[in-house]
Amino acid sequence: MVHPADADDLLEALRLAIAGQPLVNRNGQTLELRDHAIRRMVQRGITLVQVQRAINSGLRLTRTYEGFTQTGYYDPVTKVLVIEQERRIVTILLSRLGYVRSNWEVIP
Amino acid sequence: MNVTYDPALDAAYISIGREWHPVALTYPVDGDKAGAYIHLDFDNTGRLVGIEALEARRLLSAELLTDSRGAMQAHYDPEIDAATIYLHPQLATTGKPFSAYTQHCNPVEFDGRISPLHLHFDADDRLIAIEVSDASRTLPKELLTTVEPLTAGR
Repeated sequence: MVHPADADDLLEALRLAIAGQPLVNRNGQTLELRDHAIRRMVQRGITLVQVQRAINSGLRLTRTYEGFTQTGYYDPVTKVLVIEQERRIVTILLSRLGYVRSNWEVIP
Repeated sequence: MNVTYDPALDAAYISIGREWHPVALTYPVDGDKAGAYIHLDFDNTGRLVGIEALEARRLLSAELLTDSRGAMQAHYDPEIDAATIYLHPQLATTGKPFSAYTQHCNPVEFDGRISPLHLHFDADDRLIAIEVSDASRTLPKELLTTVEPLTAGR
């Protein structure tokens, strides 16, 4: 868990790491990881390695509400859920499989 | 309390208490309506420390996203240990409810330390208030020491 005093340093280090090695989806497209999602990732104790693993090998999910479609990547082992919209990572969280099953549709 | 908002992602984060608080558990609110785009963050003692809203333009008031200072307010009644966090400027001023419908969240199934919360939405599916019973256990201590107590007529 990140102590508040160390949060800014870690955020800056992550921005640099992502600039050097961006996240890519399974189609080889670069995914933009903006500050909102970086902050949620750090605050929730999730690592970049876990995020990339969920994108690479997790379940692919989709959900639509009022015309907006989001894609999700869920790793059942680490429970990391990455939510993407239009090649931008909107947020990253830890989630139970039960929530994922009842709120998302798995893409075969 | 403060709000950060990224218009490119249309995602907002409402910090309850101090701005940076480590999160031990995230509760994604269940449901097929607006609530499914809300994530509640709790610290390792089971206190609510943040609320994330995806599709925030649709889910939160415009005033909250542009200038949260006047749009957000918390009221705490120590006698019944209940608090309400208002996320709409008119409600923040008058303290008057309220909602077209309420979504009850019971993260206790997730973690036995967390008490139920009630999310209030208006007729446009905007989150306008969060009601917390057992507030001294569910909200950060720093919030409860600074909020206005409920007064007669509110």
